[in-house]
Amino acid sequence: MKTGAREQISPYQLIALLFFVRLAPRTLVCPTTMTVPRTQDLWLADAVSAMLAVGFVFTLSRLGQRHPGRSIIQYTEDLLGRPVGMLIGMLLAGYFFFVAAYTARMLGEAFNMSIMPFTPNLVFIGALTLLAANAARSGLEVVARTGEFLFPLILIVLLLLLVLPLGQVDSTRFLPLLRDGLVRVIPATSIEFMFYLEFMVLGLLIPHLRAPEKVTRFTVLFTAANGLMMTAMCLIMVGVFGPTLDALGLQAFLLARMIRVGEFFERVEALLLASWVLSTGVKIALMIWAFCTCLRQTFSLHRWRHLPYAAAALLIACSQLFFADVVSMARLLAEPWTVTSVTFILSLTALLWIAQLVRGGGDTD
Amino acid sequence: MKTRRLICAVMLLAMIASTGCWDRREIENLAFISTTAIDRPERGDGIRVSTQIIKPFAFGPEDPGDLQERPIWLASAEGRTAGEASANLRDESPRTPFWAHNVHVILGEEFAREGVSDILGFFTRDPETRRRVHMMVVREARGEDLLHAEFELQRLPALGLERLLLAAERFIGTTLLSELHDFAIDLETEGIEPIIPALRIAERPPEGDIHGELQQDEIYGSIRLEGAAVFSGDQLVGWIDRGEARGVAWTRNEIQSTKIIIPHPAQENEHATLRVINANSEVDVGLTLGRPAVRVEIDVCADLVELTAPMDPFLDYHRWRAMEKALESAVEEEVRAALSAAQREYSSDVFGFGYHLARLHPEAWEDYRERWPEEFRNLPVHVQVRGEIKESGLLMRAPEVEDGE
Repeated sequence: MKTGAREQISPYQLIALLFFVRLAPRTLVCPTTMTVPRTQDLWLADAVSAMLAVGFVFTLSRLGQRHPGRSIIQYTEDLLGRPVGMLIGMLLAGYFFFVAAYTARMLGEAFNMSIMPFTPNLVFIGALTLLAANAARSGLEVVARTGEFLFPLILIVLLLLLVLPLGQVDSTRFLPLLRDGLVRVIPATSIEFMFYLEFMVLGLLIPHLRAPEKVTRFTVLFTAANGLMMTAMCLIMVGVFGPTLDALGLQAFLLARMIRVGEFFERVEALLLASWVLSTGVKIALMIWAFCTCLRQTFSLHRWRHLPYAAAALLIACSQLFFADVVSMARLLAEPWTVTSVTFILSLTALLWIAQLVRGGGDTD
Repeated sequence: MKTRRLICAVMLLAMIASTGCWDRREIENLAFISTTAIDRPERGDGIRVSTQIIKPFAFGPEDPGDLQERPIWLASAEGRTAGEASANLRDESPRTPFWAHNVHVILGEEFAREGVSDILGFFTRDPETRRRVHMMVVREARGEDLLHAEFELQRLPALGLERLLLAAERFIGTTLLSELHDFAIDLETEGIEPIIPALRIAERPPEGDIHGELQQDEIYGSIRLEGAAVFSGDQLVGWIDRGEARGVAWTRNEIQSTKIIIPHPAQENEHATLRVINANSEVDVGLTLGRPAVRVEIDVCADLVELTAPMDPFLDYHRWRAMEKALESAVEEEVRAALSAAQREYSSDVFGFGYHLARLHPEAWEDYRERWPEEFRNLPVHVQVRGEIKESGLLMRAPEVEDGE
C-alpha cells in the first residue's frame, strides 16, 4: 500500500473523482431550487455557475502547475509563510470535513425521503462513511481506482436520466425567462457555484497527477463539459416539472420516476439509488482523504493511517449534530454556508494568485 | 489466524445486517392497492378513501377453480385527511396497504366540485405514491361506486381501466388523459385550468346470468369514458362531451389518432370515415391594440378508411379535395364547440391561452392576470385547420352495388 506523495493518479481518474464530487449535490437533496422565484430561470444558475467554475478551476490548476509536486497547503506556506500556511491548512481541513458531513447527510436524507423512511439515516451514513474511511486509509490510488471503475457506470445512469425523460419535456415551460431580472437568480447561482468550489480538492490532487503539465486543459474541459451536463439536466427538470419544480425535494429521483418507455421500462429510480450510494461513497472517501492530507501536511505528521477512521467517527457524529433535519440542512447550505465557503475559497484563491504574482512574477509557462 | 478471525467477524456482522432493516416489507404482508377513489364521507367532514386491493391468491395458475374468486377486495376508510384515512385502512386490512402500484385516482363528483386540493399533498408527498397515476372524475356518482364496476375482458379492473384510457388517448382522442403530475402542474401554472377524463358507470340490468369463459359472477356495472371534466382551480365546474373534449385535445396538441366522420362528398345522407394519423397544433397569442387575440393552427393528416356510398376519386379528384375541406370543417367545428363550452358555460381556460399569453407577453399578462376568467370569456380565437387525406386504404374506389333489376 502506497501512501503519501508517491501515489499517482491518471488524468482520467482525476476527472472521475471530480465528476463524483459535483454529481452528489445535483442528484441528492439540493437547496438551489428553493431560492429561485421562477423555476424556468433555474438553468441559468447552473450555466452561469459553471462558467464561473471554469475560471476557478483554471486559476487553481495554474497555481498547481507553478508549484510542481506541491499541494495547495505546501505552496501556501511557500508563498505566505508557515503560520498562514498552517492556518489555511486547518481551515481547508475543516472545509473538506464539512463537505463530507453534508454529503453524507444528504445521502441519508435522500434514502429516508425516497424509499426507507423508518431506517435512521445514521445507518446509511455510518455504513457508507466507514467504508469510505477504509478506502481513504488505503490511499488516494485506491479511491481513484474505485472512481475510475464506477465512472462509466454512473455516467450511463446519468445519461439515461438525461435522455429517457425527454418525451416528458414541455418546451413551453422555459418561458418567460428572467421575468424578475437577473438579480433574483444570484442566490441560486451562488449555491450552485458553492458546490463547484468543492473542486478545491484539486489543490491536493494535482501533485499526484501523472501528467501535471496537462492538468489545466483536462480540468477546464471537464468543468465545462460537466457544467453543460448539469445545465442540460436542469433544463430537462424544468421542462418536465414546470412551476412545481421548486416544491420537489428529490428532483433527480422524481425525474427518474417519470421515466416510462413502451409501458414496460420504468422504475428506473432503482438505478439512481445505486448510483447515489456509489458516487457518494467515492466523494466521501475523497473528502476524508483530503481532510487527513490537510492535517498531515499542516502538522507534518509522519504517521496518519489512524486518522481516516477517527475522521469517519467524527464525521458520522457531526453529520447528525450539524443538521437537525432536512429543512435546516437545506437552509444552512443555502445561506450561511454558501456565503462562508464562497468567501473563504475565493479569497484564498485570489490571495494565492496575488502572492504568486508578487513573489513569483508572471506566468512561468 | 488474525485474518481468519477478522473474516469471521465481518461475516457475522454481514449476517446481522442482511437479516433486514427498519423498512423491511415482506410481500405476503402487503396489500397492493390498484385503484383509489376519493369521496366525502356520507356523514360529517373529512375524506373517504376507497381502494381496490388486489388478491394475489385469486390469480393462482394451477387451480382453475381459483379463477372464480373475485381478484379484488374493496376496502374503505375515513379520516380528517387522506393520510389519516389511508392509515385507517389498516383497521380492516390484515395486510399493510401498499400504494406504489396504485395507478388510478378516481374522484367522486361531489368531492371534485368542492375542491380536490385536500388530497394532492398526500399523493404527491408520500414516497410510496407515484406522480404518474391517472386522475379521473366519475359523473353523477361517488368514486366508491365506480370501484364496483368491472370489465368483461379484463379480470383486474385497474388494468381494464388503464387499457380503456390508453386506447382513448391513442385511437379515439375523445378525452384528455391527465396524470397527477399534469394535474398538479396545471393547478400551479397561471393561465391554464386542469381537464381530466370523465367516467360514467354503465349499469347492466341483472337479468339472466352472464357467464363468461372465466365463469365469473354477473357484472352489474362497467365503466364508460364520457368526455372530460372541466375544472376551475381545484374545483370541478362542469362536463364537456366527447366531441368537445376532442376539440380541446386538437388545440392542446394531444391527438395521436382518432376517427372522424364527414359527409360523403358526392351523395347526401352518406358518410366517409377518416382515420387521423397525424395532427399538430400551434397556439399563438398575440396582442391586437393591446388586447390578447388567439390564433390556433391545426394540421391534420388522415387516411380514408370507409365510404358508405360509391365514389371514384381517380375519376373525381375534386371530390378528394372536397373531403379534405370537410375534414377541416369537422375539426374546426369541434374546436368551436369546445371553445363555446369553455368560454360561455364554464369560463375555464382549459386550452391554456392565458398560459401562452403569460409566456409570450409577460408584461401584458400582468394586466390580465387577476381578471383572466372574464377576459377569457370574450377572447377572440381564430382557428385555422389544414387537412390532408393521404391514403385510401386497400381500395382506390368504393365498391359499387349493381342494381338487381
